[in-house]
Amino acid sequence: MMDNDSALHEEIATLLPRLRRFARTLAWHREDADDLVQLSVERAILHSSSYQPGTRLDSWLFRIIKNAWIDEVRSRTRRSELFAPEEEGEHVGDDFAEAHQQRMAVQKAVSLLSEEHRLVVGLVLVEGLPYKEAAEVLDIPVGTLTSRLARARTALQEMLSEQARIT
Amino acid sequence: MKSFSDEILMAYADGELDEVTRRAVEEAMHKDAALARRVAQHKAMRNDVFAAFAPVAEEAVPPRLAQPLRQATVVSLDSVRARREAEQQAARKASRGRRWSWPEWGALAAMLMVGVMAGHYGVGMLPGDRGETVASRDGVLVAQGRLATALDQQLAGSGGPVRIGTSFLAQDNSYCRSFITAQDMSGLACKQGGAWRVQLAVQSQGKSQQGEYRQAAADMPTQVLDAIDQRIAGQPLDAKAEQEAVQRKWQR
Repeated sequence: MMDNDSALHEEIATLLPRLRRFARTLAWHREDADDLVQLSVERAILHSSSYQPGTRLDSWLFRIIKNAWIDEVRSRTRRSELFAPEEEGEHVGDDFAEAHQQRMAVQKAVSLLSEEHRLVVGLVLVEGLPYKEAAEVLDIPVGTLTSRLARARTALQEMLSEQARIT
Repeated sequence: MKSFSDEILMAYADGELDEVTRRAVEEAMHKDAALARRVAQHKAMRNDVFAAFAPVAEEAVPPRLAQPLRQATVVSLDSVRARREAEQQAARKASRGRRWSWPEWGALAAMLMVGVMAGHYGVGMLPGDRGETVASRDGVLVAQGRLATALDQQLAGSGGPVRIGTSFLAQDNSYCRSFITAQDMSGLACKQGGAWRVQLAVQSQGKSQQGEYRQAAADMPTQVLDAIDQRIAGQPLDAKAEQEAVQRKWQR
């Protein structure tokens, strides 16, 4: 059991970049997202016996992150803090800056989605989970996941074309 | 021509459709440019959202996130406790009826951190103590070496590297004893199946002052005292009952 534990910890360590990425789809600020990951890793260590070997470790960790987010981190993050400061439009025309701006625009649009929608977007579009896996992480039927994902995409599309129209 | 819902087109773009439906969508896309555009839009959205967050996974992971996975030490147990206590206070202020029971969490945290420490330090060794104290046997934490000897033989209140706090009979009819090691790790062990199973262990903050006699029970962290309260049947054993239990090797 002890050897399994340290092997599991190693595996969790290799997933940290993805855990941070997923957390960023929920909490806008880097610090908040990393707090969320830290708390989740602590929980994962403490509850490591509830992980079933042979199942997807990433899904198990995403579920812990989701629960940690819903249980506590969310309540400590004021709504106004969820949003990014406005990006300044310097260096327009620079390819790199343009790609950066595009990414920021999408990140911002995601941050403006409802929580349900951010969760499905984070799991499926960012982390690439199959619908079935994502539905299991969220404890919802696949049909519900599919319709949420479709609505989230529509909302993103609208926000992004709105932004494009303004700028 | 068959029409497809937006959800089907999205699922196609996400590679989620079964063979038959996938082919049907592809066939329709050849004939219907508008439909093909909608599929392309879904794919582009997927790519854009992925690209927006992709750099996060390239960033260096802050050490504080990896640290608990590599170094599960007594120190991190304290930090977990400190954090829990802070959050407990905040929670008390904020609301009742949370989904989580903090005392249970704390007990579990302490218990499992010992498991983590034991794992980290290899063959059942805990850091700090010179002799081995706790080992994992078939997934159960069991007292060993000096700690096991003290639990077997030592009377409550007597001195030594390990001090015994309270001895009592638990509701499940096993004998349990609280203890503090020389390294200020306190806990509760119960004699079950011929071994002292460690129910809970907590690293105390202060170092004990060498040579100074203290009433062990008074130093017990509240987690240990709570664990005693939850298990005890009747009163703690007095000196005479303890002696008898020692002679019976703590078997009922």
